Amino acid sequence: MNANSSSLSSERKMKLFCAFLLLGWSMMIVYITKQQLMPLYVAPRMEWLVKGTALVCYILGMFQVYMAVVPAKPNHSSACNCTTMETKHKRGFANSLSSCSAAITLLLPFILSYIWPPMPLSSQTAALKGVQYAPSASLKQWTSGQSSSPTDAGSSPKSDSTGPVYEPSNSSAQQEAEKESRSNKSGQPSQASSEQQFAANTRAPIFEADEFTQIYADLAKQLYNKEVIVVTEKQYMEIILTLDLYKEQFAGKRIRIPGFVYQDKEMEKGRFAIARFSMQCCTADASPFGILSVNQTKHNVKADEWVEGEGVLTIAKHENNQVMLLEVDTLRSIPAKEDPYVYPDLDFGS
Amino acid sequence: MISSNIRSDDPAAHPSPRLPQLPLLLPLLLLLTLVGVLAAQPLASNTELWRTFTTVFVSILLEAMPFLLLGIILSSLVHVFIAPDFFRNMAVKWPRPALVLFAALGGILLPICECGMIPVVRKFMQKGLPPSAAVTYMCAAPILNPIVYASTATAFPSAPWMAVGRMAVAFFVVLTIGWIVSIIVHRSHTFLLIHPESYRKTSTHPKNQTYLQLPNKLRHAADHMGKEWMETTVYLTFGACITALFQISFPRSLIVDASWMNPALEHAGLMTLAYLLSLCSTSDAFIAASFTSMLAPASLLSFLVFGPMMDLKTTLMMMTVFRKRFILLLACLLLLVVPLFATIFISIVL
Repeated sequence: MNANSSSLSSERKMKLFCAFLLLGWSMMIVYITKQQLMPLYVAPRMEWLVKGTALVCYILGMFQVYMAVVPAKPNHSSACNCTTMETKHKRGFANSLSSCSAAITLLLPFILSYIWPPMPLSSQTAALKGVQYAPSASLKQWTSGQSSSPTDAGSSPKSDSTGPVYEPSNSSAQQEAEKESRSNKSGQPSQASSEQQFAANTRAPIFEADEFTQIYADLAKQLYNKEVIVVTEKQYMEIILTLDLYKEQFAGKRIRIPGFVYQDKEMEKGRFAIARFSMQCCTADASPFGILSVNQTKHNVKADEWVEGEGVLTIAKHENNQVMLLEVDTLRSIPAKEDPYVYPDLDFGS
Repeated sequence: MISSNIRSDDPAAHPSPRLPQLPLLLPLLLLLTLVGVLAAQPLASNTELWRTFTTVFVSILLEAMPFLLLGIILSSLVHVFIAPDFFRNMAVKWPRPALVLFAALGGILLPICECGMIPVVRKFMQKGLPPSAAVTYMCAAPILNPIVYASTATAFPSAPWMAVGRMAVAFFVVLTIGWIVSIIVHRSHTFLLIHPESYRKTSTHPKNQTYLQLPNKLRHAADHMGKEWMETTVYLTFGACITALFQISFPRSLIVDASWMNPALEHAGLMTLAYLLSLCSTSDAFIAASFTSMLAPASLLSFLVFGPMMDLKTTLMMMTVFRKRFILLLACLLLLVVPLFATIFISIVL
């Protein structure tokens, strides 16, 4: 009988601890929502799931409290041999060392969040994940169904590629643009860029597209007619991808882009990137991308500073790839965004 | 009295020498990872790094929790409301290959992602589903379902065969795994499971009138939910913690750089990455898409197929059901079989 009652009380303790944790999680989610910290953790389209979790945790937690306080009548008890496994784990749990480490593990999220409060991913993480400057690569590679090994214009050490990615005409356009960008750097930037812009406006751009890139071509046509192309919060990824896909046509256009400053050792002097993290579900899958920029202002940028840069788009070489380069002539600090991340636009292309 | 007898006798009858090892192994793993992080990160004393760590850690948990709760609720409802011999009867009537095939396609009927998988699989086995079919379902359901197909197709807009390939490769891989597991189980049942005896006998719920009343059934279900939640969350938290440590300290370019030129290394490297990052099966395709310019499609397929079947988070949760040697065997099998089928598929398509 003694053994019976002690096992009962240990089971009660377990139930109360379980209730404590479940209610703790539900409180934590409520706190996160109240403090508007949710964007730091999950994408908006997953928020309702997390809020639902708070509710379920609360109900389940209250149920555990109820069961701990009002024990089942012995003859009604939920005894079945299906619980043997749980019983064994509970025995292990009762073992002081293992139960201690298990309890600490379960409390870890609460303790750590208290010691180190959450913050948005910064350029430190961006360096690990690798900022993408040419997101359209994923579109270009396989459009013509060409072979297994994608390379960027023969720049990567892979040797088994079958076809060049860029058309010859395009590559001459690139060289031209690069020349222009070089002259821009040495000469008077504003004058050169206005000439360039004029030239770009008179040339009728053709946005070549296939069935997969048609939506980007449509967006490109919309963007092209604008005086200044603003990379918006809602279509951040889509606009950058479009600009990158048609960077030859967009060379010379004025672009305005907000984001955080990212710098690394691979960059040439004076260059930095204006970048954002794009998130699918949670911070684990957040990946940074942005536009490589060259600072032509007096403003000294430092990493993780939030800025809005405006300038003329050119093409330049970065780590053996042809990427967009924004010659920033207007740069201003902006307050850090309430929601530091950008998300794929679900309405895009529909 | 009978119930208390079962409770106090059972653990004594089946002493489990394995239990103390687990909690010791896990902190050791954590310690090793921490040392690795400190070695890799020159800025380890920086609080920013640790604040990012807690953000990623809690973010992964918040993202996994809804699916874990869903899995636990489903498992508890199956436990209480489905006849104890439901799958056992099915297994008798159906030929084994048909059962494995059914399990492979089970994700279409019951799409559960890897976070909520373990409680459900364990419950299915307790209801008499043969381990070969259970393991097949465990590997198949996180990939072979409409949600993952749709997200993969979105991530690779210009290569629709990528989503088809992911499904096809996963299908053949799980069939192979199911076949091999059925051979192993035929030889020795104890190789697979931690407590094989708890799966062999039919569980006997009290058949009396009070038990059959709905409130009692619900109480029984809630009891199970609490226990399973605790048990699984311990492992999930541990897995999330180690994953977050990798997320904040592991440069992704390391794998990409190291695996140039050598297809075998590329497969191995990307599968290691998939394992360490423990991404959701619905969002990993977007990460894979960001590698397209650098890596071959066959190895991207390996990344997409291996990740949901086996990753750091799920390995730890698997330890509540399967023996370590079986988990190791499964990992080795997947490491061999996944690249094989991925390469075959790519050579057929391209």
